[in-house]
Amino acid sequence: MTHYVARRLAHAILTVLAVSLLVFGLLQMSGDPATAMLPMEATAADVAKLRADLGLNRPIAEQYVLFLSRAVRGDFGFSYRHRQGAMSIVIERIPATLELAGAALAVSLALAIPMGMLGAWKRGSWIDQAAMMVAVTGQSMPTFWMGLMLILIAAVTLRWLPASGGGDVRALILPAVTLGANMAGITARLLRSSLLEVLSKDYVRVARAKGLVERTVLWHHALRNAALPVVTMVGLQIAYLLAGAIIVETVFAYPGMGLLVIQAITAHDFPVVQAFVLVFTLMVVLVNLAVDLLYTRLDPRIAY
Amino acid sequence: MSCRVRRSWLVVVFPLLVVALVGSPFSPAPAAVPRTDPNARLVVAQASDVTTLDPNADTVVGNHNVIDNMFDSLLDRSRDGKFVPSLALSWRYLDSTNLKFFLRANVKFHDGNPFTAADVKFTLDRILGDKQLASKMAGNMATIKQVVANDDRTVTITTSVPDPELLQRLTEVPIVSKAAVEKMGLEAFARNPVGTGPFRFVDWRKDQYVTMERFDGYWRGTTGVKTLVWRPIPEPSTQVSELQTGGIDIAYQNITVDQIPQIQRSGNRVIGIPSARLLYGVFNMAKKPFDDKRVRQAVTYAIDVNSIIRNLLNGHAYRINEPVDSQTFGYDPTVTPYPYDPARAKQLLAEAGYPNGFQTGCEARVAFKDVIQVVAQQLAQVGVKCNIVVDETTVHLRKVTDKTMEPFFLWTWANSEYDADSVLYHMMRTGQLYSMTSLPALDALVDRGHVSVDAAERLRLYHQAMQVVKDEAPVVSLYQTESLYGLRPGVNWQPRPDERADFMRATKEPAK
Repeated sequence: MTHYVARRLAHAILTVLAVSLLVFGLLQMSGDPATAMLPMEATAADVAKLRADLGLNRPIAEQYVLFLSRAVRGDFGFSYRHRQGAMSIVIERIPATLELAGAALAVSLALAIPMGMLGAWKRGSWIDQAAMMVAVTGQSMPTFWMGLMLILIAAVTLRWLPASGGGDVRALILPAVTLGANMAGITARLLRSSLLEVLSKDYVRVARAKGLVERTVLWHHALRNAALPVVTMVGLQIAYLLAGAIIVETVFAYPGMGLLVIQAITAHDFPVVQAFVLVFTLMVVLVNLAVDLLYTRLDPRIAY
Repeated sequence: MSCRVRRSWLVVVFPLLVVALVGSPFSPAPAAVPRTDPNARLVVAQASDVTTLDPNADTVVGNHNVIDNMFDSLLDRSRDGKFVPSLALSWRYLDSTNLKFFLRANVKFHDGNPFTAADVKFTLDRILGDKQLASKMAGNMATIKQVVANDDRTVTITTSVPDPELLQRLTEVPIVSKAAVEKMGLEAFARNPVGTGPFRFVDWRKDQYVTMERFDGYWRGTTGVKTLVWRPIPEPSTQVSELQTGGIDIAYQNITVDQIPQIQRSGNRVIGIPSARLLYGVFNMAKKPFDDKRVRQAVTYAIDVNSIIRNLLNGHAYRINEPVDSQTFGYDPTVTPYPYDPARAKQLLAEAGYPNGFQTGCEARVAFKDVIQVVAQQLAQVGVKCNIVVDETTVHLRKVTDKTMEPFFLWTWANSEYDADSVLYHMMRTGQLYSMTSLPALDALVDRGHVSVDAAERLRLYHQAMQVVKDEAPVVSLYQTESLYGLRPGVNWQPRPDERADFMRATKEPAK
């Protein structure tokens, strides 16, 4: 087990390195932050001075090595927009994004588990068809559009919830539903097919033959065994949730990492973008590792 | 007799008095004066949050929209563009490089400290020399050589060369409290600013809101609302939704032309004013065929600007005759725009040796991709075939500064200094960072205007320069964009022509 965790952590470091190189290269290609930062009245000398101050006039390889050597010490540089360490700016926003991701995950599971179970339990019935239709609709709608529609219905028309903002539970509901509903579709469909497979197994037939009520069969015997692929999917979807948060946070002006990084990308605030991407990559890698370790709890046959 | 006279006098005067006091029974009832709530909370949304609350740190407009409500500058601009006193009561040029300011007495900062000349010196010195602050305003103040506080009430600013735009630039320098910055330190001050402005700082929750409240000791009087809140809402659709729900009272600029009907249908108002941002078609005169004046003129004749404004922008832009708008110092009212005349364009192209037109690259940044497409269609009518290139903004900026832009491109310039020098010097002076122009006759005029502090002479020089630009056509002056603001019913506020976010006089009616 220890060996396995160590190996996975080594893979994680390689992944983070590869991502850092990719992000660094892409940002280099996408424009000059010095001209974007300076007022239009700036002279060529002003631009050259700022480039020198930011180290942008050094060879690209040197800039990357310098960046990496600082990054391992947790120093991702100084945000020239915020006039603050880039890492501290990203860290400030992590709790809000985790709150959103957590709430969205809860919404997703609250929708997906009943839909998936109903679909499998009443396979072929109108209930199954309705549940799957809802699942596919949620999955197909772009989060951006769904967010705007929810604002139109719940905020503008019904006046139940605020259209945007952060800082309280009411402001969290619409973004969480937008992200969660989108994710619920795929989870519901996966749970349904996984349950259908499990429900055709011999041990389920035996359980029914023993006279157990359908609810007990479904909840105690089938669901736990059908949950393994669903847990894998949920683990993978954490990355999707965090990425989706970028769009959703922008639509709802929700004060998390997503909103921060969109503004940093627009302003070519390199240090913040780099800090965000590496923190994001680390979060995804660690969550996937946690999910793998969770398998051993769900299925005692699995051991590392 | 006397009694009768007195009575008859009363008979005449009394009804007149009644009419004067309560109004004639035959005149329409006076319009109800809207009641305003002095304790109102006004919520304004813009696209981005502030990144610092230190007013001397940078030139980001989104920051200054918020911050400037808590500070004053030495002088200000009136709605008709004239310099008016603010913290300085008056000023006088001692000679071409020495400018003396006479400061207002009895002005207090929000922390209770009095405003003195030492605060002015401290503010300018920190912009120019504080390495930790590394102010991005320093470039604008680069001509300042020395600031001397002669006594508590007078300051002399010495420039290294005559700088005719110094007064304008000083309107954009909020004066900070020396005592507060020294007591708090740089970082704490950037989170808890102390100024002399109409509102004092209360709270900043990053990416959520900045709250400020009326400063009761404000020297200019009292504000129309008690609390002013700024909220960042990047997505324009969400901002409009918040306006509809009452989540915000004013949508500050971040709305698009196609959202106007939706805003108005929901009972809200839209105000549009000419912005400081102008759009040009720029020729790279170093590249063929635009080194030929006739080709540049031909392209100018071939672009139907009125049609673009009417059909593409639904009328939400203003045609410009020359590279500056009519509010700008140096504007020449005698200059007329090139008319749309495709026949004349073809004739000029033939004279220049292109009877069948030519092919060229036409570039624009994403925000103007529709405009460049329409321009390309119009140019195709006279035989000029455009290969359209559309860039992301920062790539576009880099290509301009690297001079690697296509031979013809669309370019915007925000002339917030309201002085022709800003456009002519930075955009058309040979060798400048954003210039694709090389006209010695224009350079000579612009150079003289750039260092003269004689307003009459400068006006004459710029009028001559506008005639050169008209004749040589180094750019196509297209239009002035419009800034849009959405307002809730019951909110009374008028944007300033220079687009400075000033909410001192904003009022709000009580909630019904």
